[in-house]
Amino acid sequence: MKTRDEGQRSLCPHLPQVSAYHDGALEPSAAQALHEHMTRCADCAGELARLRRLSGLLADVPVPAMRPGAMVRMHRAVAATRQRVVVMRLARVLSAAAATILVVCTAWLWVSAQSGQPESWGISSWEAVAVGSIDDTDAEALLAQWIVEDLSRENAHE
Amino acid sequence: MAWKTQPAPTESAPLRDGDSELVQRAQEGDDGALHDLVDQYADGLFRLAFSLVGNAPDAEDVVQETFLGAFRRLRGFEGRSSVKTWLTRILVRQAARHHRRRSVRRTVPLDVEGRESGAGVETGPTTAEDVTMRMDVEEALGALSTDHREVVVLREMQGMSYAEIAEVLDLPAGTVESRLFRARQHLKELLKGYMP
Repeated sequence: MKTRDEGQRSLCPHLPQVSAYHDGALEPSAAQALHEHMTRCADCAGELARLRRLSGLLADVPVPAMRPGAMVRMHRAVAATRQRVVVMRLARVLSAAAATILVVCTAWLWVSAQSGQPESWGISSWEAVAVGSIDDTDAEALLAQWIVEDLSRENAHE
Repeated sequence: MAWKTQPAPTESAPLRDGDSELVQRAQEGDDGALHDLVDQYADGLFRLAFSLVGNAPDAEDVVQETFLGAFRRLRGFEGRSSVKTWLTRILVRQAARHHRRRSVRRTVPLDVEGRESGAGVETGPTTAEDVTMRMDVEEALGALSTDHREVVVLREMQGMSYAEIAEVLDLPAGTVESRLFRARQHLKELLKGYMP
């Protein structure tokens, strides 16, 4: 069984650097220093050998080709998405235009109401007649006239 | 730690001059440019997606979602990173999202689906030992956490430098190095039968 000291000795402090050395990610001076260190350190040299083996194993992982038809599906999906984007963009423009018109009209109505222009926007004269109140006297006269005319028509038929 | 200021030489394809032009044309509404981008990057992105998700059908879905997501946000691309880095970043996020969804849905190991998909493998193993070894490596890769698998795949299979990985994953380069170190320690433990 290893003692604690033996266990600690097996972990060289330069060990983590070996990974960067393996990847060519160290500065040339640091890489050279580690290279020299590895001629004396079995742990680091062993680590480098294991990393090279690991890279070799991973490089051998088979990569399949895309299945037939995958590219066609991808192009179709891209075309469909493009159409959706165009439609959405158009919808946004139209929505913005509609919102602008709504805001402008609302503002115009509000300003008109504030500036005392209701006369010009008042109801037409025929509407005024239609919905306007009729004097009671006039109403009685109209009713009498209507009854007389109705009776006259009946007499004429007979 | 003494870092290289320049990215390490990688196997990743350099940014072609036409890439930015393609994106610019696409931004201006040229649909043909979108399809050209698909033709240009689909294969490379598929290989990355396959390494991350472990089977061809899901990898194709991830690639498709990557393109759709990229094209929806096309106007947001300002050219500060290369087109490849931009697409890779989106793909890694899509793959992580896919992995989370799948983890919730079921707990089938990654390698099992990869074999079940039966998609045509480019280079076939020649011996039973090779087959077993490759299956073990795929299984070990699938056993890594998403964070660890991402750095291993981007470094070992995509040949990206630490700086490129940091840009894709939006991490400091030092974090990439430490994460890669831990991921490799885990992988070596899982594959200790193949280690010298």
